[in-house]
Amino acid sequence: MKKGMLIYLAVSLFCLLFSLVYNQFSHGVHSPFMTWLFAWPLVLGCLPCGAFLLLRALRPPKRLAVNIYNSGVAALTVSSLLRGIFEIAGTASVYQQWLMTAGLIFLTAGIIIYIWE
Amino acid sequence: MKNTKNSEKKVKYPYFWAVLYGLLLTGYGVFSLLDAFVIPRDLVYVTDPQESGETNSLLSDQQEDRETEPIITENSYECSQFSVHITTFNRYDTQIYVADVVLSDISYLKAGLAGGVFGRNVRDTTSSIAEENGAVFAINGDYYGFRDSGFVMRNGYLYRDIPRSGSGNEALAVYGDGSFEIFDEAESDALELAQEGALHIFSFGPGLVEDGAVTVDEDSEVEQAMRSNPRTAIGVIEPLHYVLLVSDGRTSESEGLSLYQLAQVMESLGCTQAYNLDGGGSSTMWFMGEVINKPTTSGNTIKERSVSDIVYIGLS
Repeated sequence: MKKGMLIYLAVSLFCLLFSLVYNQFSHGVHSPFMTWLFAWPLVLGCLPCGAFLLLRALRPPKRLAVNIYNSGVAALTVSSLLRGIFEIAGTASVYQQWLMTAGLIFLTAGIIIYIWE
Repeated sequence: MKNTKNSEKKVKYPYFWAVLYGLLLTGYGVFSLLDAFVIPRDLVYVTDPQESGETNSLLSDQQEDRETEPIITENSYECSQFSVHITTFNRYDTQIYVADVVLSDISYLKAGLAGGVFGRNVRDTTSSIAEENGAVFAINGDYYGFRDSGFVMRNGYLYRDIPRSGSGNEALAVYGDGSFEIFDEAESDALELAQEGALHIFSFGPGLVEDGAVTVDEDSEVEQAMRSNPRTAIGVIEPLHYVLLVSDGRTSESEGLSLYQLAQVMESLGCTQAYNLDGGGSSTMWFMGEVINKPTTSGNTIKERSVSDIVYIGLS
């Protein structure tokens, strides 16, 4: 779980740096999905990992639940990145919306599987 | 330690899912970007009336009119069908290019599509599209091909009748009598507008001037432009008398205009209706084979951006 938390932290930092650099070249146009890109791995990744590390009473999840949940966080983060790029450029894509939906489904499925384990 | 070894044995390839999913996600992301910015689709080929055998009395008239010699100077073009006078001035630390256009008939105000094709991600520079269409004068249009929604009507053909979602998205209709109408897309029907005589519908906005008064305030901005930028606008002083404006921006020589400043300039030029077209790196003014302004996307290099469409004045 500690390793997972470190990975999520690294991804959050990368996302923060990426959005800062991207915003520098976006001619003053901003998108909350780009600005807050780092929040997805930080809130949905680091926080749960931290909770499992700190609260010993919590039963650690098994690999299937972790994989599904992580897939959801990854899909939501990439979807947010795409939405940010599209909004700054002034366009939109149905594929980004599908990815956001898939991410939410994965995330929910991961939580449900954890509860059922 | 023994437990760890046992748990490692249980999973032969612990990162198999992560690697596979990562590859799939990357592929999906790349495809989404290519689909949005690169891959041409939803193509509709524009029919040439002469090739399709349709006869058009206006075309014959125009061919006859071409025999009349135009008077051409460095910044003007005058013939019996229309006149274009270009002036350049500096305001708000920005270089502004204004074309005063007077037409004898609305058919000389035309729209050109990149490659003669309607579709997403079909692009070419304003100057190339202008030359392909035999234009005398041209500015960039609304860059319809960057979006999947928004009314698109050009030269009497209705290509897209899907309004942009949300309220307050204003479009511009140019009617057969030369008048302009700025309207809310969500509350309008493109087919009805076509039946009412619209020849062109541009979907970008917002409207800058209506009934001779500025309709944007200092805080107004389109989502694509939150500060001073290169701009393109079209306005009408009276039917068949138009103002087509392009401003530079993002350079040390030209700061660029806010929407409010742009609206003020259009109002000061006497426009009763004025509308904001695609700006930023798209903003280009072309006259008799030359790009007049300094188009730039980054501010570092002066280079035309490829766009979907242009508005032009021409006989062909």
